[in-house]
Amino acid sequence: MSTKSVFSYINDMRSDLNRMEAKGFVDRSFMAKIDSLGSELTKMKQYWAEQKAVSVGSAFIFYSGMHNAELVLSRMRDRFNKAHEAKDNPGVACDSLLVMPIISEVFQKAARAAEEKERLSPFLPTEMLKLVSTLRTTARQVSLLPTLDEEVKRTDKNLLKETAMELDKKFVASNLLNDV
Amino acid sequence: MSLPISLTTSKVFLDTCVVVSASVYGSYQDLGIQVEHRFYTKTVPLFAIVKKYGDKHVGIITSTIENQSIAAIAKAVTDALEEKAAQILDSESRAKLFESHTVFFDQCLAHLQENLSILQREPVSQTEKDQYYPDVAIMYNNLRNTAQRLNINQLINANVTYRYRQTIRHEVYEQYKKRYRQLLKLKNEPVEESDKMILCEAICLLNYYRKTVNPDMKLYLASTDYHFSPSNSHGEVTEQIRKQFQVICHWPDEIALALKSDGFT
Repeated sequence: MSTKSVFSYINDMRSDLNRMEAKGFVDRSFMAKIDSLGSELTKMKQYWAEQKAVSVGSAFIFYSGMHNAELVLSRMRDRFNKAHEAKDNPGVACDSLLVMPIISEVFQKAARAAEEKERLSPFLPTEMLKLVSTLRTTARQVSLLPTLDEEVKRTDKNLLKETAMELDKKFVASNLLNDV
Repeated sequence: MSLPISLTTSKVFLDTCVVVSASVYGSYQDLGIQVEHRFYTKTVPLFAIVKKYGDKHVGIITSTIENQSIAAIAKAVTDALEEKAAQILDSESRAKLFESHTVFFDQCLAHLQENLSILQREPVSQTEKDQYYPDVAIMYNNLRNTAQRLNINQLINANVTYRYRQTIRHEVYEQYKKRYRQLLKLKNEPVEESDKMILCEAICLLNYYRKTVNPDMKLYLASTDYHFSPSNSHGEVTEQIRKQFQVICHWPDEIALALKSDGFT
């Protein structure tokens, strides 16, 4: 899908959600659309993990944006899957409507950054950071954010252990206030 | 039952470094690992009070602190990632490295959001902040001039008799260094503009609370930065801020103790 197609796809999904909310009925076929969007986010996430034309720090921020959007979509999919049994009908559609515009903006910023690359505006990573924070806060308020434990479970344990130990050494050895 | 009056006469403005220190930790029980910022434990008692007295809005921040905190956490994680990523060439390992760092970053963001949710965010106008900026800038310039004139060898020569000077010079030198640590830090690392702005915000907040809530309001500035808080010894900078602007700067754990004396038991 081209970047433009992804935006129109997200808009279609928002229209579907509006319809579901109005009818008070959740359509389970929406899960296929979540999967399609999810795979576009994964591609964009992969792009940022491999991208070497910008600093590692900037690439990581856009990667993190995609990662968080993916997390929210995975929780959304789980809820759509269980909506009927869990009597989450049309609650999940209403909740999803609140996060979809933010996911769209997260993708838009990551796509713009991918176009700019070497000419990347220094404000764009900062804007993305704020957006990630907004996405997480909103998603958590409407139960569309997996718990931290669930997030940890998906990760390579050995690498996580290694990373945690290195970060611990760094945080003990350095005083962050000098970096602020 | 009404609460003691002292509970409405103290507020704590939290510096970015305190909010960051309180948010940078991670616990991975399955892996038996705990990651913690070196000042995390110093922030625990202060946040416990802020949480307990949430309805009194004792802990305050501004949008400057909030924005700086997110950026500081991202910088801490990306700095660590940059060091590691430089050694990795293949895409798969790089992607895994990004993934493990983003899990920790998300955890810190979650803690940050939790911490921000119990702090009162106060608006401070740029115009008002700018009014105090010249006074703050002059104070730091004067202190820096004092720091630059500070000559420990001269102090030793003036205060230690010639007979003992050589034998105890090293020991006395270290004592003076400790005594004037805050000034020496200012000499080697000039205060940043963003720190001056934080102090301006603290002054604006104190004035606002004194005008609208209580004329005897006390404002603490919780910070782990020597440009505000004292090191182990006397703090010339801390003392000057208190004298000139009535803002009481200290480490978060020390402020927790002060709040207890103020009635926040």
